[in-house]
Amino acid sequence: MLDRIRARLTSPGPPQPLAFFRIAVAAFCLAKIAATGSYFFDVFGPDGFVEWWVAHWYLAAGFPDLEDFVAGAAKIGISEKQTVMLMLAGYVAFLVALLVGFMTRAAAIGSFAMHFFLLHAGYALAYGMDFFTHIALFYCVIMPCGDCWSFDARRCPERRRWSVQAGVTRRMLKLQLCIIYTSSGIAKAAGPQWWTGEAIWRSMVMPVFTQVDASWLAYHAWFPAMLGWSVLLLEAGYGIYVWVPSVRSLWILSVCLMHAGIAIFLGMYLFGAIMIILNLGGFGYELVRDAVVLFRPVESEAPV
Amino acid sequence: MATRIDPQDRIEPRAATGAVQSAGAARRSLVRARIGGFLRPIASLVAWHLIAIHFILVLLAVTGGWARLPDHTVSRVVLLVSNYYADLTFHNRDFGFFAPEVYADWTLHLVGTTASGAVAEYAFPTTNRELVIKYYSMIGRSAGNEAREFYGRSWADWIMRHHEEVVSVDVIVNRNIVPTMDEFRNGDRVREAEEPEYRATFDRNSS
Repeated sequence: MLDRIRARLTSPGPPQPLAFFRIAVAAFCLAKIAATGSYFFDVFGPDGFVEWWVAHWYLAAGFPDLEDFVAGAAKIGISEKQTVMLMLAGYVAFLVALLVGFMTRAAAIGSFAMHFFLLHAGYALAYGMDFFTHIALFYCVIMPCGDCWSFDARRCPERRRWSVQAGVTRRMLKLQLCIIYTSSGIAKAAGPQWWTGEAIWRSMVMPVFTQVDASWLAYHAWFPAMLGWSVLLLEAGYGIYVWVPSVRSLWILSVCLMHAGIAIFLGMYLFGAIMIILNLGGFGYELVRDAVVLFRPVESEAPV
Repeated sequence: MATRIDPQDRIEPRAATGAVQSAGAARRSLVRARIGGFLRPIASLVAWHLIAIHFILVLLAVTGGWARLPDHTVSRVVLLVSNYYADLTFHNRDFGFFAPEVYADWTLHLVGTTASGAVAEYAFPTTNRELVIKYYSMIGRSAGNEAREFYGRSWADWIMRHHEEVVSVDVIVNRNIVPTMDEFRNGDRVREAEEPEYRATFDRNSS
């Protein structure tokens, strides 16, 4: 039994899903920078909406932050703004290297480190999307995600093979997603709002999230209630049903659809995108494999 | 007779027998660093333990297991490690967004006064959805936080930096009251609470 578990845990995995994950995460992070656009300094700068000395409160003692870099750079005559610009340029360079798979591991570590500094500099404005992006970058660090569709793989064709590290790290991502969704589903189920549909209603009509006129939901209360139950089922059941081959694809697609719904109807585009990327990074390979089985033309026997 | 071939039969065994077996030892190990001999199994063991610690910390965070740990030196050390790990990786955090309830959203009013006494409302630029969400998240994070005064000071400073004529800023944080579906059907609508959650005035001179 133990041998079977060990064999299952350490079985090799393909490099393609990790390469997809790497490309998607890097492209997403670049899009995230673009979304902040000309307000980059207002979000991450020392004199932004929330100044660094406030954001510094949230960081454990001993960790370096952008303020330390600014102090160091000031000694050689580089201004605050120039230092932040240099950090941003470095982050973009690491992300581009990660995107194309050039010195992939180093690029992933660099991207993760830069994201760490920026995340803490703008911590007061951070939300779930930023945290999940950081988690995604962490997985880019530990995964052998440069083994395929990368410059590194072109230089070293030996890399383009299945490996234990690819299998184990992707299984880690899957397990982590299961923990996140299941705990979130259970936490939601603990309150009455998701059972009655009020949670869906409130999300849709809160001014900050309103994208479409959802007042009609109040006159068809069964509909938000049904959506609330669906969210509870999808999230709380995630940890079980993604391991059942017959319903796995249905579950992953439904969860991706849920995140697409959040993106469209609550206007949380980046949050929706990173959650879909994480799901496809973890289970996309199985999704494609299931689709191949489903859509494979039936092979008929050759006439004798 | 029609037959269906499971692609698993085509993909997995090929990889498990052909490609993988032909690869080097590094590929068959969890550790791929260029180390060999007796060090490789040790490194592999360390890697497995790190994975186990990672998931223990994640599970402790999502289950609220910390609250049940005895007040002991070991617990405090583990808690310290967990805090640092959470700050570094953000893995071991509570991911119950919108759980157990969806709370009402926040509003922020920044009312500036010029030297001549003219009063006007100012706002942070929220030119796209991402900034709107971040802005909302910022107000939410400040609310009920002991650092609220610092947030207020920061917001007022930003307004005064970008509007030279403003000499003082009134920071007003309020809550929207969202009616239930039943209340909405009875004519109630989203409105701001009458009493603000937080109100403070910051002057340029005290910046």
